[in-house]
Amino acid sequence: MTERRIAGVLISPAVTLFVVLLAGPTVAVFALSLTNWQLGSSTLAFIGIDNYAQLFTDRVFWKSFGNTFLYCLVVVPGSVFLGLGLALLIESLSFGRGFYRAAYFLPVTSTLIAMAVVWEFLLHPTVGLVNLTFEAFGLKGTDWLKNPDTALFTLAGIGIWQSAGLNMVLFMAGLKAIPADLYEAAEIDGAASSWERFRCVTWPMLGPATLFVTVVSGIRSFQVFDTVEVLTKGGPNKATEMLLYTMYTEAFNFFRTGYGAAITVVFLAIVLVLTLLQVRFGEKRTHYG
Amino acid sequence: MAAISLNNVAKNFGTVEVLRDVSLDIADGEFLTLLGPSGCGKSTLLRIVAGLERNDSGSISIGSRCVDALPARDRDIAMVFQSYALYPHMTVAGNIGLPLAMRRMNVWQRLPLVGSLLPGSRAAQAGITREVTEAAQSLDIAQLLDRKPGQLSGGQKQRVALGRAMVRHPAAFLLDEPLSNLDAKLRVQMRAELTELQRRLGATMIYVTHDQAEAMTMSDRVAVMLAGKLQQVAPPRKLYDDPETLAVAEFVGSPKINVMPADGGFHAVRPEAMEIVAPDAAVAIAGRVRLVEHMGSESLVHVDAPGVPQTLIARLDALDARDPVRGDAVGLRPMPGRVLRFDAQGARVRD
Repeated sequence: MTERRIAGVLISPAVTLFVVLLAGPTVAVFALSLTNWQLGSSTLAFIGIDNYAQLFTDRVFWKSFGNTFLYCLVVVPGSVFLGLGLALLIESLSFGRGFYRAAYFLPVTSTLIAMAVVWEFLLHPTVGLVNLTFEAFGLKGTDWLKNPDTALFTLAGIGIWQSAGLNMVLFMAGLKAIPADLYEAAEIDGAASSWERFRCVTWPMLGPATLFVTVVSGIRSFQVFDTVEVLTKGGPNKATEMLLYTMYTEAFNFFRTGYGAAITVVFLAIVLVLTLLQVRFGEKRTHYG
Repeated sequence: MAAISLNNVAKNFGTVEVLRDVSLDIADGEFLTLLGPSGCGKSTLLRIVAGLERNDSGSISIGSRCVDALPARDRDIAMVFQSYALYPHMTVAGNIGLPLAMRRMNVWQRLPLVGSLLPGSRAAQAGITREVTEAAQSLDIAQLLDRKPGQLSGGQKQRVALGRAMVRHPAAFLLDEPLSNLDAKLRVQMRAELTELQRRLGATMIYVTHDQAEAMTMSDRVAVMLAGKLQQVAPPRKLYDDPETLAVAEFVGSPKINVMPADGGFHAVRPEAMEIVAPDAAVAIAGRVRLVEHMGSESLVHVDAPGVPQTLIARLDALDARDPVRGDAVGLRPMPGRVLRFDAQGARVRD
C-alpha cells in the first residue's frame, strides 16, 4: 500500500464518526428545512426556502431571537465574572478550599430540571423564600416567573447560578498555572495593592482561560432550554420564548418538523459565527506565555 | 547604591531550621555571591533580603535604613529571577518600563488609551521611554523593544530581566541563579558581561548560585552556605587556598580536595599540590593508579591508597608528560607547605 492509502485507512474511523455523528445529521437537518415534512407524515415536498421566508416574518421567531440574545448578554458576563470572583476568593483561602469548591460546583453537577423545581418553590409568590426575604426587608416582591418584566431576568439569574461553578473551576485551573515568580516580580516592581497585582499579572495571565470560559458560557447559555420548559413554557406572553424552546415546540408540539429544522439551521449558524468571532477577536488579545 | 547588612538573621519553615544566625556585611558596590548546594538556604536568605519572605529573628538594613518592616517594593532593590519572570503580555519596553511606571504614574495614568489623556502622563511616559531606551542600549537589546518575551531567546530574556532591574537604579541587585537556564556557552559569556555590567554600574549585587565557577569568576567575595549556616565569607582565592573548615575545603574546588585521616584529625591537599613520586619514596603515600583522566591541558590521576577511605586525585600538568597508566604502583607526596590541617570536628588547625 502507498503511504496515501495507509493514511486514508488510518483516518477512516475518525472520518466515519464525524460523518455519522456530526456532518450527516447537520446535512439531514438542512435538507429537512427545505421541505414541508411533518413529524410522522408519510409524504413530504420540496418547498425551497419557504420555511426561511416564513421565519423572517414570524413575530414569535424574532421575539425568541431577541430574548435569547438578551439572556446571553446577562448570563455570559454574569457567570464569567461571578466564576472569576469565586475562583479568586476561594484560592485566597487558607482552609476549606475543597469544601467551597465542591459547594459552588454542585449546581453544575445537579440536573437542571430537578433544580428548576426547587427554584419554582423559592420563587413562589406567597410562600417562596425569595419573596419572604424581600418582605423581611420591607420590600415588595413580585411573581417573578409570571411577571413579563422579570421572567427573562429571573431565568438569567438561574442560568448564572447554574454555570458560575463550572467557570469557577476553569478559572481555578488557570490561576494554578500562573507562576509565583510573576507575582513576586510585580511586588518588587511596585505593584502595591492586590488590585495592581490583579491587573499586572492575574488578569493578563488568565487570558486563555477567560477566552475559553467566555466561549463555552456563550454557547451554553445560547442553548438554554430546561428552565424555560419547566418554569415558564416561554411565557408569560412570549417573554421567555428562546430559540431552542421555539424550535422544540414547532417541531415536537406542532409537528412542523421542516419549520423546526429551519430554526435549527439558523441557530447553528449563529453559534458558529459567535464562536468564530470570539476566537478570532480573543486570540489577538490572548497571550499563551 | 548602598551597603547591606544582615544581623543574626534566622528563619524556620515549621520545624525545619532553614537559616541559622546569619550575619553578613556587604560593602557598597560589592559583588557578593552566596554559594551553596541546593537546599542550603541561600535562596531563602536572598528572598528575605528582598522582602518576599519574612525573617523570624534578626534584622536587615540596606544603606543606613532598617528594612525589616518594609514590603519588597519599598526596599529599593531589584531582583532577577531564575525564570526571568517577564510579563508575557507586555512588550520588552513595557517589561523594562513597568517598575518606573508603577512608581511615577498613578492608577489612572497607567490605564491604556484613557491614561494618555490625563495631565502629566505624557511627560511621565516620555521620561520612561527615554530611560528604557537607555537601559536597553546599554544591554544591546534596543532593537527588541517592540517584541514580546515569547519571541525572545533565553539570553535575550535574561537581558530584558537585567534591564528591568537596572532601569530603576536600585540600591542593590539581587540575582537568584540568573544564568542557570542558559546553555553552557552563553552562561560563560553572560558571566563576563554581568561582571562588567556590575563594575560599570558600581552596583551592590548579591548573587545566589550553586555553581562554583560562577562564584569564583565573578565575585569580590564569596559566602559559602551549608545547611543554613554561613561557613566562610572570603574572596574567591582565599576561599580556595585558605578554607576555615573542612566542609568549605571539600565544597570548593573541582576535582574535590584530597582528605586523609591523620593525627586524630584530617589532612587535606588540593589535587594540584599532590606530586607523583616513586612508590618507595619517603614521606609518600603508596598506592595504585585506578584511573587516568586526560583533560587536554592536564591529567587527573586517581589513586587508591590503603588506609585512605577516599580515592586520592593528583593533577598533572600536560607539559609534565610522564602520565602513569592504570595499575601502576605510585607514591603520592603533598607539596611542602600545601597541607591544610583540620581537627576531628572539621575546624582548621593552624600552626
